[in-house]
Amino acid sequence: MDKEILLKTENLNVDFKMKDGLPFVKKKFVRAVTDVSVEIFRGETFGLVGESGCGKSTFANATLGLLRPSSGKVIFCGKDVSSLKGAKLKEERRRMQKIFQDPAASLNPRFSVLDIVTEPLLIRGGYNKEERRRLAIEMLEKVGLSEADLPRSASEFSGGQQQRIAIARSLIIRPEYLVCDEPVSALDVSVHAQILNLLVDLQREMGVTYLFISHNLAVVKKICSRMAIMYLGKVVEYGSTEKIFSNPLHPYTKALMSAVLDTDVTHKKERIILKGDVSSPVNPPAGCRFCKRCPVAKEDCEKVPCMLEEVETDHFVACRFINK
Amino acid sequence: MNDYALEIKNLKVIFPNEAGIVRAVEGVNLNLQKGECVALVGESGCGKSVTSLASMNLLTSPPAIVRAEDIRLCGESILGLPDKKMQAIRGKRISMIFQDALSSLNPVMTVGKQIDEIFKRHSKIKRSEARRKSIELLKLVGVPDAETRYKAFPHELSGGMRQRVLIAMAFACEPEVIIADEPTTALDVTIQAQVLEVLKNMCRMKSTALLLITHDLSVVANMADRVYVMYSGKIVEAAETYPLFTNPLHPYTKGLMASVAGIDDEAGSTFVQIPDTLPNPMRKPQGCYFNPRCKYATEKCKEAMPPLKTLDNGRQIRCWLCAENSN
Repeated sequence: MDKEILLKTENLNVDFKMKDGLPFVKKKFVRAVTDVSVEIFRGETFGLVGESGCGKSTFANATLGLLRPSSGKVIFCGKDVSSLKGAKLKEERRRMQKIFQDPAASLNPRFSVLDIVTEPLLIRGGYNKEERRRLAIEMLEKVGLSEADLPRSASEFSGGQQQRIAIARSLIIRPEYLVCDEPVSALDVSVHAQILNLLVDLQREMGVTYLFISHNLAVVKKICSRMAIMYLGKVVEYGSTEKIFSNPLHPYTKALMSAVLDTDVTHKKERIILKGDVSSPVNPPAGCRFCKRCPVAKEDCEKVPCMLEEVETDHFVACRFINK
Repeated sequence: MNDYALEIKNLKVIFPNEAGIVRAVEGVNLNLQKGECVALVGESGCGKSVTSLASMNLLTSPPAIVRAEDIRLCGESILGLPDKKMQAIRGKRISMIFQDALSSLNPVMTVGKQIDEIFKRHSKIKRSEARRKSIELLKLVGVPDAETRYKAFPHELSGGMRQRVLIAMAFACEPEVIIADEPTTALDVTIQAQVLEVLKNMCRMKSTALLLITHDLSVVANMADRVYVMYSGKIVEAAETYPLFTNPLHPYTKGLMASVAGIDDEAGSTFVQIPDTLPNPMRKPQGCYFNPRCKYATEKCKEAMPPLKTLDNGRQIRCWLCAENSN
């Protein structure tokens, strides 16, 4: 395999210290991301799936250098981004971008579309007014808008169009790595498909690598080549999308897949309905984090740590009952 | 006499503003049989929530102007009832579950007190009796450790728990009709599965009619007996769930179904999309409202709005093409 690794994390940990607490009392930590080691190849779409609060966005922000990891490394194109600071970090960040869930909240309502889309060029510097305008028009046409939209303000557009503007803004400086943080969750069902198709087309055209955060497994299956499933800050299953979907191994993955409702009315599926809620990431158990809701858990699951192990090529699972 | 739990006849809601008139709901006819689960599906802004609010007499007027031939709850007309009388009905005979549980619960009151309040409002029972009943309800909707949770504040509960509390409140007086407005949209998939299961079981147990308002077709397929599809203020298709999902007739319904990504879809295939978006409610197109987005649109579709036609098998459809084909 001669696939080039674009981004790699090594035992990445992100902890948040909790504010309250008395002096001399042991400090509490929210372990948002624990021991995550994944590799993202150039040009692929990497899916990151999990319930809210499981650390998906924290992980993405750490890879962008927006959060400082407590330990572990983020290696982007061979360089350790997590140790960079100031101007050097800024230099690397030019090659990464992010689009957000709610386009209305991520666009400045007082800016015109021209201002919004050309702002990254202004920050990078070295473009004159004419060039910026020309690049903006070129980018807008790629996302399905036109020159006539340049003077309008972002609030005049519908949700789907606003997301297109956000995509144009993030891609205008030709990043290599784009984090899509639930890019369609805030949009209408009939618009989902438009935006997702646009993202797929743009990737084909510009060769950008996506980290695609979603809780919609059906979408991940369609557009991602590789994926990771997170639960309470840890990766429970990781590898090729095809292998995970054809042969889900971790009990959480199985439950997640069976919880996805579909529109098939012809035959009813047997569902695994998990009991209880996601437990708190504050001082989590040392062992498997899923043990409290797991249908196959044994008593000592809480204590025995389980690591990701490769069960077949490009398919890793963290569960002691599956690993040999 | 029919045995409809809820019957809405020719409901119209408009919101006048400076720029023009927003026709949010244009002549909707809808009915729910006793114990039936009916879904009202459509994109945001198509008028589904306004329909439900208007039928519970919850829209403030002005700005809203509500007109209807009749709205009947178990045969009795509730249209234009004075506020006092409506308050006695809401919560007791018809109740609602909202999308965002955190904002529909009072943050400075324990959830137990909030459930008690419903009993106090609608039936003359003792406080201790109300408390006993509330705890029983919490147990029914699957809140673990109900006695302690009774004393909890909404912020101490998780999203799924809060939604269960809302369900418990809605069922408190065993109403005939419950309207659930996007009850699981704010929840995670695994929690969504739990909450839907609770809602389904409760409805079956108490034989309550449920009007489920949602944009999520997969929820509809798993919950509803019958479906109304709404587009831009009008019902465009109405049918039983099974025939609707196996054989959608209206081009809009077809588009909606196709655009839902299924977990059994082939990897790498493209997403089917409906072009464009919902029309501006102040400038609806001439003719069929769906014609600018419809790939089958003909000249006739651009000129006149098709009527809602009832087919032989009881399905209703608002489309020139489908109505012709079936004859």
